[in-house]
Amino acid sequence: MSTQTESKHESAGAAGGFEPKITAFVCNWCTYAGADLAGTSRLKYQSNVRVVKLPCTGRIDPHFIIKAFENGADGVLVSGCHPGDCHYTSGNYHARRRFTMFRAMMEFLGLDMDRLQFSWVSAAEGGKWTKVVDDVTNKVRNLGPNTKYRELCEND
Amino acid sequence: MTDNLRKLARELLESGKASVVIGYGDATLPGRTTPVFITSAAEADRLVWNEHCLNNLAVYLSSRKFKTDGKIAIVAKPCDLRAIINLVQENQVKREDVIIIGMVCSGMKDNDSGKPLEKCNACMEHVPKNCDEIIGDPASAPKPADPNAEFISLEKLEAMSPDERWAFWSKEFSKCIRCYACRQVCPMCYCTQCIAQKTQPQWIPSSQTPKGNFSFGMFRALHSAGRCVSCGECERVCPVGIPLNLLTAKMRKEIREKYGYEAGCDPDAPAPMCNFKPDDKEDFIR
Ligand code: SF4
Ligand code: SF4
Repeated sequence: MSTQTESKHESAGAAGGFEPKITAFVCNWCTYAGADLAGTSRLKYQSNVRVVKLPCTGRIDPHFIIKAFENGADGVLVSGCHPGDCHYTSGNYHARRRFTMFRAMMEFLGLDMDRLQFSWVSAAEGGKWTKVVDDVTNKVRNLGPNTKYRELCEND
Repeated sequence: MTDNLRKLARELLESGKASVVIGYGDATLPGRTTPVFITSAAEADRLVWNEHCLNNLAVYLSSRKFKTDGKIAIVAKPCDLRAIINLVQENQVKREDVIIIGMVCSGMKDNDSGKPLEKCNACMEHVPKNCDEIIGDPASAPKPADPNAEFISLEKLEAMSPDERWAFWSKEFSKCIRCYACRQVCPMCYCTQCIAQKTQPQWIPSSQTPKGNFSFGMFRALHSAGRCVSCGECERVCPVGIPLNLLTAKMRKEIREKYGYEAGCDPDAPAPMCNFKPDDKEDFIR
């Protein structure tokens, strides 16, 4: 992909390098509470992530993810309750099937799959949340800016 | 087969068992057919059956595109028949309201090239199932193809790198003129308001731009996941020749591999995208 767009969109980090924007769609009951726990426990993690809270992973429509990419996200993380722990009993089971298909579709279209990641993080897993966010951020930083989507959206 | 079909249509209409027979008639151009709606026995001779009966007529059953008192009799190739069964599963039409006239089908030919359609070369089902009447001799039908034949076309893309795939689809989607023919012709696209035309909020940009086209092409196929019966109509009608069947075939392959499901084959089977199993397998959630 062409490189001239990269510099234009690159957001400068502390050291002047590329810092990715990560959008995280999380459920209210598990992952958001887990992220809260990470905060109250004063655990440190990279600040590239913008958290969007939804009631349930079952409420996370693939349209949200596409919109995030279209609006400049370099990576997207989707996270919710572990199987069996859904506050609404089965929302995450439905989400799991939906994201299985969505992910297969995005892979088939040619998205780099490190840009679209999924995790189960419970309300007690503040530590896991920091690890997941750090790992996603590092992987996306390695990939660089989401030039594919930026080129796609350039003329809009 | 045409004679038997006409005879059956006459009987259904004369006896009042059906109030309309939806089938194929000769089109103005020689060698082509067009959908016809036969409402009286005297008109039954307009019906034809040949290797140019391309349209999937099931589209007239969905989204209340067609209204009639009494039962609708519909001529259906085995692939189109799966679409009807899927509509029954999705409560878009009551099984008892339609009389399905299943045709033993040895394949359709492209109008322009005269070659057999790709989907017919990969057809697993030349003899109709789940129908009320059968026209044609099942013994004369060709042998079903290998179940994976329809996925061979995917291999080339699957072997590419993500960058190559992205370049391929960017180029293909850039041709889209957003005529929505692919959507209109699809029996499963029956939403009264399509997400592609919602403006508040606007999930899919409606203008003909790379962003909007990419999003539309992707979501049209995603919304067909677990429901597409591979009738191939979307790709056939696309005026700019985007290989839409690749996208739907990809979804069919995933659904078959992950959930062991074939759309439109069993009217009582639970739809895969509205159901789940607690032990569904995946390999990407950490
Ligand atoms: S796919 Fe099979 S049933 Fe459909 S038109 Fe071709 S041969 Fe006939
Ligand atoms: S039929 Fe082809 S050109 Fe028309 S909207 Fe569908 S993909 Fe685009």
